[in-house]
Amino acid sequence: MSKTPTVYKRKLPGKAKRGFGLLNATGQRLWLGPDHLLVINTLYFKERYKRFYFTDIQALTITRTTTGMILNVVFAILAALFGIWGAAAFLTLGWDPVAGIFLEIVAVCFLLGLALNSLFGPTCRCFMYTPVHCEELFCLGRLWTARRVARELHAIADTAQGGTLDSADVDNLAVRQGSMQKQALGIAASAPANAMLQEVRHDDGKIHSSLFYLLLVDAIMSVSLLIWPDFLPAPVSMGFVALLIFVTVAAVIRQKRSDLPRNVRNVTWTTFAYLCLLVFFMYVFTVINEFGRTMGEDEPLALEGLQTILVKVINSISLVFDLLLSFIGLRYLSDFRRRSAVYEEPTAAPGEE
Amino acid sequence: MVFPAFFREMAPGTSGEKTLFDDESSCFYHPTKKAVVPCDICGRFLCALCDVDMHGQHMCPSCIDAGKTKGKMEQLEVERTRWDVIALTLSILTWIPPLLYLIMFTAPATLFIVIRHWNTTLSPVRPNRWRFVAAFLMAVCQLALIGLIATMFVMEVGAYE
Repeated sequence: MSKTPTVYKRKLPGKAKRGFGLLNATGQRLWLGPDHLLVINTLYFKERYKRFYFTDIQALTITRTTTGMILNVVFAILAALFGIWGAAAFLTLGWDPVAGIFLEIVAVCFLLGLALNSLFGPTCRCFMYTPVHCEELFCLGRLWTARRVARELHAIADTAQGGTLDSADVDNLAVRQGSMQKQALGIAASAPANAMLQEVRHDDGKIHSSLFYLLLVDAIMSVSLLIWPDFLPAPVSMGFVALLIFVTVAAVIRQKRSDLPRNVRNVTWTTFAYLCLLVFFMYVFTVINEFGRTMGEDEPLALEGLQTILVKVINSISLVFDLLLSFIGLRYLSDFRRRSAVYEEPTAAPGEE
Repeated sequence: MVFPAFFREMAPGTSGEKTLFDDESSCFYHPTKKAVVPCDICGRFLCALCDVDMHGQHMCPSCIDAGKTKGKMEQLEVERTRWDVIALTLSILTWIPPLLYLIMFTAPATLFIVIRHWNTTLSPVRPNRWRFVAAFLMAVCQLALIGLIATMFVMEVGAYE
């Protein structure tokens, strides 16, 4: 048995983590070996290796995603929110300047996130196909990096496989494209990279569509509250937010181990994060309101202006997020339903094996 | 992006041809089937069913199994524990003030990991031992610090008495 260790001369660009924080963060890196590509998945102090020989690699697909754009919009909105809030604290309300500086620092952090996210370029998903396997290379999550790696791999694999494609091969491509898309659809619904093969349940996305329609209703309510601040009593709007949170939690539970695509799952998680932020801001608003009322008993406080600004800011942000999330979610969901209908397996006729 | 291998037909699987004559060499694992190739490791004759082609090297299933379990075949190795990273992390983490009290446990543990796993195979992509060396030096420094504090404590107690 050969004891000579393989020498990996070069690391390919791309490094990413998948999972939430420290709990389940799998890192991935790609290294070029003499005759194969080594995919290293790292989980804490363990490294798991997958070797893809250049002669076996059949195709590499890169699909542009909107994750980066959504992240930019979220960063921009949060930066604007904290910027306006900080400026309001500085200029009009005679607040403690330390609070204003703190809010401005938070806004700058979000702006930095926006700048970095823009600098890294658009996001994408990359899949590598072999005759028996389809592997997602999640370390190639940025389009420019993925293209660079694809070009490099193409040159190496072409040499290893002896030649380039001719016109007959290209004509043949369209025929096999359908099966590849179907394979990718199955992978898209799969669990994290380190997960074992799990049973995937079909989900028609009814709870998700209810959630996205409820977000549209919330958007209408936000517009109404912007125009007529006394349109709804506070308990009604708070009850509606509670209903939204309930439906979101149900959707998050429902999408676990289902065949819903990753983008729909991401929108649901983003909705959950947005609702948490909304509840947090509502809490801050209530605290300020109570503080103003209690302190105002002895001497009048200039908090009324801040409260008006806060109500308008929260409603505006709520409107933007509601519209964005509902439209994006409904669009992804309709895409998923259409693809599911196209790739649905034909049912066997009675008596047919 | 599509590569030429995409249009290559997959080779059909074979179950092994049956022996027709008595003097024909047969497979070690299937005596009724014709041997097509010897194992490159143990030399046993193998039929088409038992022959595993590992990128030009022909092997029998038992040799592959032995190689996999003993970790002798790098191509079959799918997981490694990074003991060097564990040792270094352990030695660095204990410098954080709230964990400083654990130094008397972590320093010997780091030394044990370094000595016990010095010869274990490291990551295939960066097989150098600088992390082990750094962890060892830090653990020695930590032990020296413990020794210094203990000596000072003993001297203080002696002076007080």
